[in-house]
Amino acid sequence: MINCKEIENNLPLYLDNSLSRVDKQTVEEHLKSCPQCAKAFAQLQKTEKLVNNLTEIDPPPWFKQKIMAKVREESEKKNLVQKWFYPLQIKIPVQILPQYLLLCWPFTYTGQERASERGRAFISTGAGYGSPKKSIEGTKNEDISG
Amino acid sequence: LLWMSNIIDSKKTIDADEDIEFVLACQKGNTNAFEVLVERHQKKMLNIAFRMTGDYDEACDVSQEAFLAAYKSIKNFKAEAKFSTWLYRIVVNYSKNRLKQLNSTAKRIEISIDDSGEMKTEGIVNQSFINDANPGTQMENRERETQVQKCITSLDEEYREVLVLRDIQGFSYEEIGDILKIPDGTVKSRISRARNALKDCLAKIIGDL
Repeated sequence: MINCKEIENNLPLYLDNSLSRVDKQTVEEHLKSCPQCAKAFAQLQKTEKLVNNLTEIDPPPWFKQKIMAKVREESEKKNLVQKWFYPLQIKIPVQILPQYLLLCWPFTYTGQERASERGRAFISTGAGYGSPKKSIEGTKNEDISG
Repeated sequence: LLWMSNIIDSKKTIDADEDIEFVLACQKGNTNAFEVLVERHQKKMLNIAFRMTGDYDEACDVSQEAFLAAYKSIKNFKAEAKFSTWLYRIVVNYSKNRLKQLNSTAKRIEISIDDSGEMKTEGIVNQSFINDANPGTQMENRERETQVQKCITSLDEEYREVLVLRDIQGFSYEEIGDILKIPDGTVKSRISRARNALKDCLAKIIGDL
């Protein structure tokens, strides 16, 4: 047997048809035989009517302008910060840096190895003190030719 | 498949959102696009704040602050829900914060209903109703509206917000769940309690409803 307390909890949802079919039937059956719950339901209906009749208020005439003035002020502030702290608007994707390092690493390694080999040859041939210009030019030519 | 359905769902949300074009423009730095959004939502924002706080001036302040907060964080809006849902969530939260501030500074409307059912109101009085002094039936209606608003303001915060969103603003249960980030069952139980509490309050003030 359903008691009035359970029905009372369901009445506000019965009002806008939000109950399941079974609960709806139970409420309808109960309302037929319980004047107390029927009165509570009538009061809920009147309350709903009062709430629905509440007048919508209008924004004051200055409302939008005032909001937009604040928004534009905020936007200018943001632009100023960007101008001073991020003057160069160059966007470099983060992925480029590791890719660049990976690509350049073998060349850097071989270049270093070659340079050390050249250094060793330079010392063993005894060149250097006598003809530094020649050896530098020679290195340059070697580099260009690959 | 789940990934695909997520993409389709989010695309549906974006397609169904009539504001998205202007939101994207705002995200790219177009301030004028925000004006369109203000124009579209200002009345609803103000009315939500008004029914939550019960005061016209407070509602104006709260909704302005909510719009500005929305603008400041519009880049964080991911279009997972409708823009309006996101915006109304902000105004509800700002209204709740304002009520807390008013509570702490004792400026809030204090309603006490004594045994004879007579209501005493102190503090802020609804500005919009004072300004209108219409005779006869209109006056009676205004008085009744003031009584209803006072009862709404006397409700607990969690009941007030669902009542305002459902019975005054006409949002669906699902939309209310999205705005307040609460499950459907919680929305229903809160609405049920809110309506019963409002009915009891009005019956006490007005007498025979």
